Amino acid sequence: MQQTILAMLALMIVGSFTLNQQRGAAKTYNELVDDELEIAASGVAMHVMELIGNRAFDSRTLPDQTNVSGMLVGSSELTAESAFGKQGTTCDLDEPFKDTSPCLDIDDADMAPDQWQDVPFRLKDGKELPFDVRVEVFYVDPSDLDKPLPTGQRSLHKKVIVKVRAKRHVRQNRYNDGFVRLERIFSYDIKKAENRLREKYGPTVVETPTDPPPPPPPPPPDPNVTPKTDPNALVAICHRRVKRGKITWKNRTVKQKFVKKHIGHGDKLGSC
Amino acid sequence: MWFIFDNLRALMIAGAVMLMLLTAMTRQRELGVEQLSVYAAKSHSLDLAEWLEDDIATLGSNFDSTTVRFLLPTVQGGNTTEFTFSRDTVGAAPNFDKVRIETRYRLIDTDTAVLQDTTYQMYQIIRDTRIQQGAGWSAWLEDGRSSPRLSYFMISLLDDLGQLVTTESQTVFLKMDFSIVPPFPQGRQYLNQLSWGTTIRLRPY
Repeated sequence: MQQTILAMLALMIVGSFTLNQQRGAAKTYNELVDDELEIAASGVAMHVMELIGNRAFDSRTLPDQTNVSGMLVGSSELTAESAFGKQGTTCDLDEPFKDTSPCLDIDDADMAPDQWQDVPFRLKDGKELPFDVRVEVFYVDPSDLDKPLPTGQRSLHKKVIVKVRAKRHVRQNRYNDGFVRLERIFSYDIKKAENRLREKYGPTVVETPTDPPPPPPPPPPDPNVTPKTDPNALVAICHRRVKRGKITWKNRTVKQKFVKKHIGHGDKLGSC
Repeated sequence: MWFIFDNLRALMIAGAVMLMLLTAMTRQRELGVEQLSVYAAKSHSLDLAEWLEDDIATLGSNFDSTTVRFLLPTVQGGNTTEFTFSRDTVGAAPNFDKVRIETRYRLIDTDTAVLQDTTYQMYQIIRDTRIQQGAGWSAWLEDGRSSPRLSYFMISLLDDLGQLVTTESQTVFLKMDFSIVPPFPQGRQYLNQLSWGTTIRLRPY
């Protein structure tokens, strides 16, 4: 009887020891799997971020828009944060080219709260690692790029947050807000907008030729026609300048031949 | 013999105890090796990823939009076996002469690994560079090697929308993917291979 009690005690002690060890092993195993998934998840986040970053800064800076109404001159002209996203649909983050209505600008990728999209990580031989991706886009304060702007305010800087979680995390109810998180700030780049415009329509509206053609010989004077102004004559304008979202006006003189371009940018003829 | 029969019950319990302890210890040891193995593979992956990213970020530096930035990658057996690309460095004042540098990745066979009854061929990337000298080129000079345990390496060309393309002029992004087999593969590993991938926009931006 005494021997049996001792044996049972020994079994209980070893059983509890083994159970604890198994629990530790399971925890380590989970960490190992997370380690293995982390690298692939980072790849998915970078892929999605690069494709988003290659879109236009805003629907207002798309070539069609800039060709009609000139280059963007102030943040007030940008899309309101309430109109971010595809309004009812979502961009295909993995294969945007397959989308019937492709995402054209950065904020089109913004998703509704708690919305996630399947983006697989493709392995050799057609195998895939399934991940969920969520994208958030919002304006940030130009003086503190970590600070989101209150709803309704806009700036020339948008922060994009890409969150990735693995399907097994969803099943285990872990990392509900993402396992890998990648953040990047995209600022309005006038050169990029000009390049897109040039790609689509050729060198037109915003481009000033580096080597202007020589002026044609002056026509014989006609007393019935008002003589043309000298293209190099100086003209006073009220120059509009946008810095950190604020518009300032300043008196400037520019050559006659550049007046049209300045007016197109929002400047006014005459003094301020 | 009489001792065994006298203490049969105790011996059976002692055997069970020993078995449980041995199982726990074996699993613990396996986990330790697996942890070390995954850590080593992760470290190799990140090292390789870093120099791939550095190379691709400078691909096409100081080129105009008409210069060919890279030769189309050679693909064999589902892997990119050769990829050659160029960049220009700008010399010192006053001439600022450009010097063209070509970099080449070659994938060579190394060893095989057996993972869950499947045999995988493993590879290594050899990185070579050469410099343009007048009308000719210097000899290729080896300038780095990856881990010899790559099981997959693929460079894909993508256009503006992320769609696969087959010409240099259409290429806007390069997508690079590779997998690494951990140095001491264990049968219980979840993925068996560590996979990394990224997409980088090419110059000129």
